Amino acid sequence: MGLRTAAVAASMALFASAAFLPTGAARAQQSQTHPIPQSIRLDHEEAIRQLTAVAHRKGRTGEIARKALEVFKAHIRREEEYILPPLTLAPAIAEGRVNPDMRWAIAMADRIKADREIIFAEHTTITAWMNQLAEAARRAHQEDVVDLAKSLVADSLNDTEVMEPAAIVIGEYLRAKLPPAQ
Amino acid sequence: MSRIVLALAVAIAGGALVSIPARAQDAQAGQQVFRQQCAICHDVAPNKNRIGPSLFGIVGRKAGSEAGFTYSDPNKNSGIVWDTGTLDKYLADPRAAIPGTKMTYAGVKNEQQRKDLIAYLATLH
Repeated sequence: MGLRTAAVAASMALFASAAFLPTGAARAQQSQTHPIPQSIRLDHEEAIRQLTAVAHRKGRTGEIARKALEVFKAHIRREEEYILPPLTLAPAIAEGRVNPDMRWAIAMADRIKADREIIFAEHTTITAWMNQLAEAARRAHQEDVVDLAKSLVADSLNDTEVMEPAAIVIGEYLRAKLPPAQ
Repeated sequence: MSRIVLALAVAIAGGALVSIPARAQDAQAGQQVFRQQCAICHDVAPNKNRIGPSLFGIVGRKAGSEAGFTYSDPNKNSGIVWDTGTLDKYLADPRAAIPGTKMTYAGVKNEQQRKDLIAYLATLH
């Protein structure tokens, strides 16, 4: 590809992406990021640290861990984008404090509901990788990796049983308590 | 001697419950499938619940009835009794068989592996 052709292609790509950018309030809403509970952040960092350490090992366990790490990180990104942020509101709501600035959590809860089966499928993919990782680790007598695989599958159950429903409950509670958006 | 008689009786009872032709299944191969696909969450010792419920005595048991395990409502309310047919359907695609199940597992897609696994589960009495 010549320089001019490349420049034209780049301009078209820029134009195309600009055409799909949300504007005004919608852009502000989408670009706004919300934190997640610190305790969960620590859990995520630790899980990624441990899985990364296994991914650096030679042999079958390292090979599987490298692939599993990609899937796991993608799931963590989804969780941190819109599944876990509503949980930061739980302490305030538990104290009876609700205000219109919390409305963003309603949209996130709606997105969790809409994506429920996609999210569940991600958990099943993680389980499949952890099954493979645990089996390879057993064969290699790496009990620490077996334990890690078990704990990551347990995390999936925790997400399914507690985190995702709790985030939805927070969204629904806010919808019931706050006046409709103008 | 009495242990051998008991083991034989259990094996015969298990075989009668699942009613799969003997040559079409292989409990030993099923044990391998269990180790690779299920053992990360399930134990086979009685009353030992982990991420999933103990699978001891699963064949013939009502779904959602293992004491000391917190099941999802869809599982508890499914009305399913685990036998060859219901296990085969569930293990092929858990979320399709019981929508809302919290078992984060896509299923055993290979039919022979499912048969072998069910044959192994039938020995857990």
